[in-house]
Amino acid sequence: MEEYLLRLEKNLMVGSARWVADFRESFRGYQIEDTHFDMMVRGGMKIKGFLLSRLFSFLVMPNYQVACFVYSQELEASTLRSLVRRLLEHMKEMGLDWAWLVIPKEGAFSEKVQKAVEKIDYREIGIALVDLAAREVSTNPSYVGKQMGRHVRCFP
Amino acid sequence: MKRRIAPLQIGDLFKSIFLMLLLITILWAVTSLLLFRDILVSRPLLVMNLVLSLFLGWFFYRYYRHTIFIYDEEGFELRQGRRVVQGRWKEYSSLSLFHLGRGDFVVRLYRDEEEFLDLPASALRLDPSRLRFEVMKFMGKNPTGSLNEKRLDNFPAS
Repeated sequence: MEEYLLRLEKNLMVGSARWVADFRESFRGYQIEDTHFDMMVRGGMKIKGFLLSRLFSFLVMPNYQVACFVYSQELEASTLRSLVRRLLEHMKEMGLDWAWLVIPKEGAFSEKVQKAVEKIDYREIGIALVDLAAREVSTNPSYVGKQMGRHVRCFP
Repeated sequence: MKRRIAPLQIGDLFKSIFLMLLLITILWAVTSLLLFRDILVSRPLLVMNLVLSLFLGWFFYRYYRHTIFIYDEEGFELRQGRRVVQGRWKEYSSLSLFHLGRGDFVVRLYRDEEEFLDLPASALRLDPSRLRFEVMKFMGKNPTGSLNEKRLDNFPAS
């Protein structure tokens, strides 16, 4: 699990996810009220580059604030729904435009949890269930969800 | 036991030398133009400029850029040139790993939401992730329980 977290953090900050957003700051052990996230990486969509890419980013890219939350505790379908609601409230408070929620686990997820993820279709949130043992990733059907699949696929 | 980290920051040293060379060259060009109504260029002059900029660049680097980090379980001292910051880990409430760009990482210590201090991990040639976890331990924060050595290694390559 720890190795996966490190790989994911690296992929977000200096790896393939930089094509999506500039994830520049990573917190470990991030707390939202009584919910403990293993990791939270935040950033923006204004990518810093050199001359042309900086100009392109300034003129074309929206100034969205984004984050990726990682939650590795055991969860039920009902817990997942309340977790997502809490996350949406927190996003509003923090001024985040969209967020990824990564749920890694050493083993398969229950069918209920998988179905719950498939039904969650908030535009601003992407959810990925990461089965580390089977090296499988399933995401929710929102645009943000579909997009995140390949960036969280960084298995040890 | 206190640990002292003070590597030579080659990039900063070269920048200092280049800056001095640029300043000396401009200064010589202006002086030469005023005195001789022409910009005099010769090999001995160029060598003298280079030697002078190496000398001045080294001093500029030592006095303004060189970073020394001394720390133990209780606190730390960060010297950047003549600027010295001392602190105790417990004075800070949280920390993060911050990417400045081009693979340069700092460990950002937050006193509150707004006030923070950056420990330049990459400039000190430390493994940013290892330093982050080490500081978390000093601050009494353990993100996921066991802090084994394996997970501290090789992130991100700086």
